[in-house]
Amino acid sequence: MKTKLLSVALIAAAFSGGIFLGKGGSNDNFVINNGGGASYAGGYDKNAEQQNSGNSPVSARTVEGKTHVVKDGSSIMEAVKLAEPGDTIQVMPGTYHETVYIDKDDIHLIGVIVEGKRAVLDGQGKLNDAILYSGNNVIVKNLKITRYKGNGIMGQAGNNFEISNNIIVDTGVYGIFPQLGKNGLVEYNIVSGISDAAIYIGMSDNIQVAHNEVFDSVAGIEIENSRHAIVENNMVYNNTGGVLAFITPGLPIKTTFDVIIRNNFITNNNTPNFGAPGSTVAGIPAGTGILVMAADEVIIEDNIITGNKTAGIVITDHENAPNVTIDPESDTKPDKVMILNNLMDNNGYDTLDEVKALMLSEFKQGKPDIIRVGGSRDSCIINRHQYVTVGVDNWKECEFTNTDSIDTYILDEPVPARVIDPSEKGKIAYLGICAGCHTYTGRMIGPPVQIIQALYMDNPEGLAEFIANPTKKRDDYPEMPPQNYLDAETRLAVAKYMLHVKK
Amino acid sequence: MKQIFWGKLILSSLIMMLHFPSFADQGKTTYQTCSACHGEQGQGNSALNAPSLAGQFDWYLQTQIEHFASDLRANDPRDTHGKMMVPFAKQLSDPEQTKQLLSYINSFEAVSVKGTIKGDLKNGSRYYQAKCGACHGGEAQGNPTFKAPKLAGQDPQYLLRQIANYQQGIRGTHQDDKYGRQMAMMANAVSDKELQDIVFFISEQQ
Ligand code: HEC
Ligand code: HEC
Ligand code: HEC
Repeated sequence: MKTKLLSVALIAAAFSGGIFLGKGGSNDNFVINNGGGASYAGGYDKNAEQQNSGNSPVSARTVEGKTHVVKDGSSIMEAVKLAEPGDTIQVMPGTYHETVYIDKDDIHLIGVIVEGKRAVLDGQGKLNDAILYSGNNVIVKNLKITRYKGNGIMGQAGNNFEISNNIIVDTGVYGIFPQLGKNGLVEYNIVSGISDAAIYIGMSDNIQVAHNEVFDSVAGIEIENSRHAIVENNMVYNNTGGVLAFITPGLPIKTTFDVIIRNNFITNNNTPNFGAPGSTVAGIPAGTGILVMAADEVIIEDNIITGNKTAGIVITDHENAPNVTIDPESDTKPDKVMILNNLMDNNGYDTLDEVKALMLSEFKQGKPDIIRVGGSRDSCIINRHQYVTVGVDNWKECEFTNTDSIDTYILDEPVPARVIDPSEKGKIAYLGICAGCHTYTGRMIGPPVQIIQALYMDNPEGLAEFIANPTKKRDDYPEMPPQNYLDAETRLAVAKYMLHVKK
Repeated sequence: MKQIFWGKLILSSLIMMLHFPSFADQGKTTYQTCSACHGEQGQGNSALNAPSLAGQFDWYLQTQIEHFASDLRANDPRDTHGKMMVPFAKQLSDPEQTKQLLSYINSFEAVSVKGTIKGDLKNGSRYYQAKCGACHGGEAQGNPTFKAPKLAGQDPQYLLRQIANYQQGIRGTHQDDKYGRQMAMMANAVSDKELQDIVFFISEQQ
């Protein structure tokens, strides 16, 4: 409110005087380029955990298990049921209408590509999920996935995963969605037509998202409530918002920090928002290149960011973001954001009125490349003179100019497989599955848990029954995908857990 | 105080009328009793604290009438406004008569209350979606699945008073009032500031 009033007064002053005040006292001696300086050391000390890497985060096999070959007309799920940890499942070209659930460790599910023909999983607009895995050391590779309503590939608390070389088209809410995983790689995938995030890293650590092509979705690549992630060499275009680093309030894991977004093409993300109304991503203004919401230690370096009509980079706290409720346990401010060199051009050419008003309050005009609203401590930027900016004038110069010394956050040795104690079944299922769509207090994909608690109170049996076979209840929400791949005991455990969480 | 007094005055004379419904247009005739407080067209009367009935789901009106009659609602001595409704609800003991009455009420046009209160729409929208929309619908249109009534078009002061009632244990406490208890749980999950903006958001819906 204050800024708005202020800006009105300023506009009036500028016009009544018939003059436009340039920003007084600014330094005309630009440093032409600030490249080639010190290198950022990164926020993750690998040595503290273990030493450096090969390529895949997945455990190398000492002995190869069996190879199961699935041919057109037979079922992938049947092969998974027969497989033992250490086995490989090869899926031949053909069309498969099924949901595949991998609840075993060390399974490699690999499509065989013959003369450009792939194994196609086709949900026909009826099935919810294509691939779900909860095992550790799982590889999902070379598949084509289309027309599912929920998830293309979803990881549920599996560590050391690799999702690569898949093509995912018009598939529901999330394209590739590893949730609650540590040490994972998402690379060389093509993902499009997703109504929430095409690639969504949720509540995970040590992640590499590289060389993907992501387009025609609401959110391109989203790093949410996750740490030590690198997003690099991706092509991200024609989404509503390109690359997002978020803290979503109301989730059980409360932080996002140490995210490097570098060497990506982030262009023309101007697609009108088609997210479910009221959901978090539905609040993203079309034309947003990179959006940092409340996440800390986000480094943005050497990206090509062009043609995003609202702005190239938007940095906001929770207070200023639409469709977001405040979580007292999450820090709402994006601190230590570091903007290094980026090629920015033709952004902000059709920006929001609020942004224009903010610009006027800083005596600025033009098409904004970088917008910061709300609080942000200890953030820095280099070569700021190259961009049209709002809200970063008082940021300091960064003390380094590149991230060259950080190769990857993938660990050299796979982390131990997550072992689930039976008493923790409900909790892990909640974190690994439900929290992908339900937050405690806010509307994500599904209704807030707080409301579910009011509806079901002391009736976990009723809740368990619902998730096994959900019925459509709300016009303005998508359908809830059935969780009948979980056994009855897990369903009841997760129902009980859901009715008792407090945040 | 003044309103309650006034309410009591018309109350005694109105109860008499209920006993003489004409068979020709029973619903309309029965409604004459109600119209003194709820308005000719069911639009409500804020001076009498009587909510709008127009545009509301008939199943919701029916349960509320039943709840007033069976002490599931207005069972708390502090609920002075609710108590005004009790004798009228108790008079509606003939199911056929109630049915006709409800179908008559159904013919009323919903009213708009846009512009009757102030608030922050952005805040209201975010908190409404987070705390209410999953039961009452994205546009406060109500949702039969959850027995959640329509809130759009309802007098904002009435809405605020009902939520206060839920918060203070005046409404939604009876063990058999499952839906009331659900609502009471949610009423205790909002702050006053959020509520003001939420009700503003609701008042802007059709
Ligand atoms: C892919 C997203 C997604 C995941 C994952 C998910 N849900 Fe949901 N859930 C939804 C949506 C969407 C709805 C709203 C459905 C509707 O109103 O028709 C919903 C609704 C619900 C409801 C409300 C039912 C009612 O009667 O109103 C419950 C309970 C629920 N989910 C439990 C769970 C549990 C438990 C899990 C984890 C095992 C889970 N959900 C995982 C999306 C999801
Ligand atoms: C003396 C005034 C008066 C008369 C006459 C009256 N009502 Fe009411 N009615 C009220 C008041 C006041 C309330 C609000 C009670 C509260 O605040 O909880 C109410 C509430 C209701 C409600 C609950 C609405 C909701 O949204 O929960 C229904 C249904 C209702 N009345 C129906 C009727 C019908 C049908 C009649 C005629 C048979 C009638 N009333 C006659 C004063 C009256
Ligand atoms: C868990 C589902 C649920 C949620 C969430 C919910 N409500 Fe309700 N609400 C109900 C139900 C069910 C009723 C009807 C209760 C009854 O039958 O007495 C109701 C009744 C009401 C009433 C009384 C309406 C009347 O005409 O008397 C108001 C006002 C109300 N809700 C407002 C809200 C607001 C505001 C929110 C968000 C803060 C909210 N509700 C969230 C289920 C819900």
